[in-house]
Amino acid sequence: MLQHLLRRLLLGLFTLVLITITVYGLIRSMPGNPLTLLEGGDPMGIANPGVRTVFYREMEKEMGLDRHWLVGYFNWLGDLARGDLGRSLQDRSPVSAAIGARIGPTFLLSGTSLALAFLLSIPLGIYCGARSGRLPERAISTFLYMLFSLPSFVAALYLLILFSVELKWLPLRGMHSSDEALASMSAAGRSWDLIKHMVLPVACSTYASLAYYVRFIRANLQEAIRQDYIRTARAKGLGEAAVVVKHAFRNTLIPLATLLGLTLAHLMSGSVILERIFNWPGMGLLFFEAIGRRDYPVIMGLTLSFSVLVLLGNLLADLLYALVDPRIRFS
Amino acid sequence: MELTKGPALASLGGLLLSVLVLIWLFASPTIPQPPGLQQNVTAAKTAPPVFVPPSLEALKTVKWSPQRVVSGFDVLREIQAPRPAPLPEDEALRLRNTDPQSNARIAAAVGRLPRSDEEVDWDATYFRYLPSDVRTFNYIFYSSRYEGEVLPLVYAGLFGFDSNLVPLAGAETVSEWSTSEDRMMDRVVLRDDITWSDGKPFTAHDVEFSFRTIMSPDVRCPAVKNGADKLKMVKAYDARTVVYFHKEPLVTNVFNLNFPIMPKHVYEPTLARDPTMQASEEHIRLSENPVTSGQYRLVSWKKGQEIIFERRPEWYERHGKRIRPKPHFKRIHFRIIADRAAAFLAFRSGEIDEYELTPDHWALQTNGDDFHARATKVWGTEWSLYWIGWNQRPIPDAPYFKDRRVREAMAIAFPYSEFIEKITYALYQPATGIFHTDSWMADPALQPFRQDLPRAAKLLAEAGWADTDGDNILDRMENGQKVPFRFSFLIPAGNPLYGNIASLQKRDLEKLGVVCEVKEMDFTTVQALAREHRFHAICFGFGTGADPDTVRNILGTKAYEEGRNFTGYSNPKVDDLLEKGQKEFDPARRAAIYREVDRIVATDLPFSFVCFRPTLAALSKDVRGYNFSPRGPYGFTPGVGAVWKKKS
Repeated sequence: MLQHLLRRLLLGLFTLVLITITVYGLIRSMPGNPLTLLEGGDPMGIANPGVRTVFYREMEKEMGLDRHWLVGYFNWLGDLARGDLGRSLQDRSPVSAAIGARIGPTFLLSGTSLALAFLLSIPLGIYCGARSGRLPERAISTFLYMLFSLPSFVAALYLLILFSVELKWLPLRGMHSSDEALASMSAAGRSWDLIKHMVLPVACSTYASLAYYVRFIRANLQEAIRQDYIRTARAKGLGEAAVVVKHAFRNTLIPLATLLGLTLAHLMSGSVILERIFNWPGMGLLFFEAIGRRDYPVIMGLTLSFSVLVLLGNLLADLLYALVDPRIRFS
Repeated sequence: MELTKGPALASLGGLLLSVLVLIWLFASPTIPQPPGLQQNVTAAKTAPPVFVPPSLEALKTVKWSPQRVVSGFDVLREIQAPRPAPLPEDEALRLRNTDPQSNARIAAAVGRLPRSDEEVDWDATYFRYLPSDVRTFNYIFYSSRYEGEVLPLVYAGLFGFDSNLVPLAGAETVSEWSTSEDRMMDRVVLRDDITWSDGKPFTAHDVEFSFRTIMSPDVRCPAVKNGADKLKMVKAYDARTVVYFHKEPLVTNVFNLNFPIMPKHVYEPTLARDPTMQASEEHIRLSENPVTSGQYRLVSWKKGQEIIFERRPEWYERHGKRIRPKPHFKRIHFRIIADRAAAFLAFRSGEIDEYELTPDHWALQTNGDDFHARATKVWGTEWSLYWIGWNQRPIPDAPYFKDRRVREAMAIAFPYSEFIEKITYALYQPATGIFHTDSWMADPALQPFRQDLPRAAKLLAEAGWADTDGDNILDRMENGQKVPFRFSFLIPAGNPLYGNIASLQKRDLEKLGVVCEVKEMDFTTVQALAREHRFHAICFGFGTGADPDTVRNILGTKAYEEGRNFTGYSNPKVDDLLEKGQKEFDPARRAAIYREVDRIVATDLPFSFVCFRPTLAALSKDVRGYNFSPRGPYGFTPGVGAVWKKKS
C-alpha cells in the first residue's frame, strides 16, 4: 500500500512538471504579454494613448519576456522550489495571497454545491433506477434532462430577475452585504446574510451536475439490477429496499467514487461564468482575469493548484475503490 | 483486481504525448519582436544633454502671458447659461425620451447644477458602476480608462479642460498660471491651502518630486511617462511656484503638464529603500492605502467587489470657513461588476445610479413603467468612432488593401444606413471622416459614407480583381500565383456591435465575390495582433483625445512601430500637416490644417468610418449635474464633481 502510494506520488510529481511546463509554454506562445493591456489598457484610447515607447521595451527585458520561455519557466520552478509562487505582474501582490483570498469563497460555493448534488442525486438516482419506466420516474428524468440542457448563465439571469430585481427576496451579487450592514448584524444574522447570498449561485451551479449524477446513478443501478446476484437476493426473500440499496447500489459505488475524484478539482476551479454574473470573488474569476491580462505567475499558481487537486482527486478515488470494494488490493 | 497496470500505461501514454508537445514547444520561436527594438534601447541609453534651469532672478526678466485659471463649475455654469429654461423637472423626468426634443429637456433637467446648497442631499451616496477593478491607488501607475476615472477623485490635479475641450488650470488648486513669451515655459503658482490626507501641505516640491519620480528609469509607469517625457524639466522655485520647461514650443504642451502628483514627504524615504516604487511591502501597502490630496479619500477597497470614497472636510473647509466648493456626495461607492448583463440588473434594482446603455437596452429594455418609476434615460454626443481598419502593410505580407481603390470598394460595400437604422436604432451617428462632424477639426464639406455595391465592384475590377476561375471568388495574379480575395477580419470579443459590423461587412462583400473570415478573439489577443500588424482587417473603436494632435498616434507614419497606426497608413502630406498642426497657435489656421487632414484621410481610406457612438445613459431620477462631453460624461472638468443628488 505504502509502496503504491509512494509510486503514485512520484508519478504525480512528474506529471505536475509536465503539466506546468506545457501550460507555461502555451501561455507564453499566446499573442500578447503582460504589457499588452498596459500599453492599450483603454480600448477607446481616452486615458492612455497607447504609445509603445522605449519604456515598454525596458519593462519587457525586466520581466524576462525577451528571453526564451524556458528560462522563464525554470525561474518560476526555482522560485516554487523555495516555496514562492511569485508576484502578480499586474499589481505586484504575492500570488499566494491572491489565491488565498479567493480559495475560501470558491470552496464555500462549490463545496456546498457538490455536497448538495451528491446528497440529492443518490436518493433520486436510486429511486429512478429502482422505479425505472414508471410515470414518476419518467417525469423526474424528463425534468432533470431539461435542467441539464438549460445553460446555467441563462438560468442565473432569469433567477436574478425574478428573485432579486422583481421580488427582492435575495441579494443580486457578491458574498456579503455592505460592511455597514454587517456591522449591525449578530453572528446568526451574518450567517443568514451569507446563506441568502449563496442561494442563487449554489442553485445554478448545482442543478446541472445534479441532473448528470442522477442519470449516472440510475444507469449504473439499472445495470446492476439486471445481474444474477440481484435475482438471487430477491429469490431468497430479501425486501426490495435491501435488494436495491445493499446489493445493487453498493456495486455502483466504484464509478461514483471515480466521479467524486474527478469532480474534486471543480471544488477549486470554480465557475468563470457564474462567478462573473454573481460577482462571487472566486478562483474562476481570478483565472479568467489573469488570462486576459497575461499575468503569467497568477496563471501558473492557479494551474499548479488545480493540477495538484486533480492528482489528489485521482489518488483519493483509487483509495476509495479499496474502501468500497473489499476485493481490490493494491500491489 | 490488479489496478497498477492501467494507470501506469495511461501515464506512459500521457508522457509520450507530453514529450511530443514539448518537442513542438522547444521548436517554437520566442516572442516575435517588431523591428526597431534594438535602436530604441540604444537610444534610451544615450544620456541627454544636461539642462540647467534659469535662476529665480532670470525668470523675473521673462515676459509672461497669463493663462486661464478658472473653476470648472463656473465654466459649466457659463456653458449652461444660454440654454433655454428647462421644463419643470418633474415634468421633464416624466418624459419617455422618444425624440431629440424630449432628450434636450431631460438633458437640461439632469444636467443642471444646484441653485442653492439647500437643494443638495449632502448625505447622499453616488453608486457608480465599474466594469473592472483598478490595479493600484498609486496614481503614477495608472493606465486604464477606469483608473483614469477613479483615481482623480482622490488626487488633486492642477490642469484640465472644460466640456468644449478648452484647457484650464483649476481654480481649486492653482492661483496663477502663465506661459513665457517663447512658449518654452509654464509657470504655476499653487494655492497654499491644499493638504495631503495626513495633514501635510501640498506644495510645488511635490510637483517637482513627482516629475522626477515618473522619469526615473527604475519606476515603470509607461502610461504616465508618455507625456511627461515631452518635458525637459520641472522645477519648484519655492513651496508654491513651479515652472515646467518644454522641449519645443507646441500648442499641445499644456497636455503634458497634468501628470499625477504624489506626496514627496511620503515617498522620498521609501524610494530610497525601493526605487521601483512597487516591489517593497511598504509600497504595496501604500498603493492600497494611499496618502491622497483630492476631494475624497479612500475608505474601503474590496478587490473585485467595491471601492468606497468619502468626502474630505479638509478639502473644502478650513477653520470652519468654506475654501472650495463642497463635494456633492458624502460617499462615492463604486460597485465592480464584471458582467454587463448583471450590471444592468443592478441598475434596474437600484443598486447603481448610472449605467451606460447599449442601443438594444435603449430601444427594447428601458421603455416600461417599471424602468421609468425610478430612472430616466438621456443621450449626449460623444466623439467615439467605430471603424474598420484595412491593413496596408500586414505581416505576413498580403496584397488585399494596398490599393486605394480596393479600400474605397470596401468602404462603400458597407451598409451604413442598415447598420445605423436596424442595429443602433438610429441612435448612433454616421461618420464623415476621422473627426466628429460637430468638431472644429472636421471638414464640413465631407458627406457621410453610403453603400454603393455597383461602384465597389467596378473599383475592384479596376484594381485587377476578377473571378477568373468561376468559383464566385475574385482573384488576382501576385508574383506568378493566383491569390483569391479571401481575408481575415479580426474583432474583439465582448461587444456585440463589433460582431454586427463584421457580419454586415461579410454579408455584402460576398455579393462582390470577396470572402471575409471573421475571427473574434479576446481583447488582449486582438490588441497584440494589431500592434504587430498581424491581421488583414480589424474592427475597433477610438475615443477622442483632448486635442486633434492625438490622431498622429493613429495616422502618423512613425506611429506604425510605436503607436496605434495598426493599418500601416503612411502619407507624407498628412505627416507634414500633423507636424504643422502642433506648432500652429492661430485657431483658424490650425482648424484649416486638421480639416485638410480629415479630407485626405477620407480619400485615402485607411479605415472605413462606420459611426460615432453617443453616450446613452440611464440615471436614477434623483441624479442631477450629469453632463456630456466629447470624451464622455466624466471626461472633462469638473466631470463627476458636478453630479449631485436632489434632496427629496
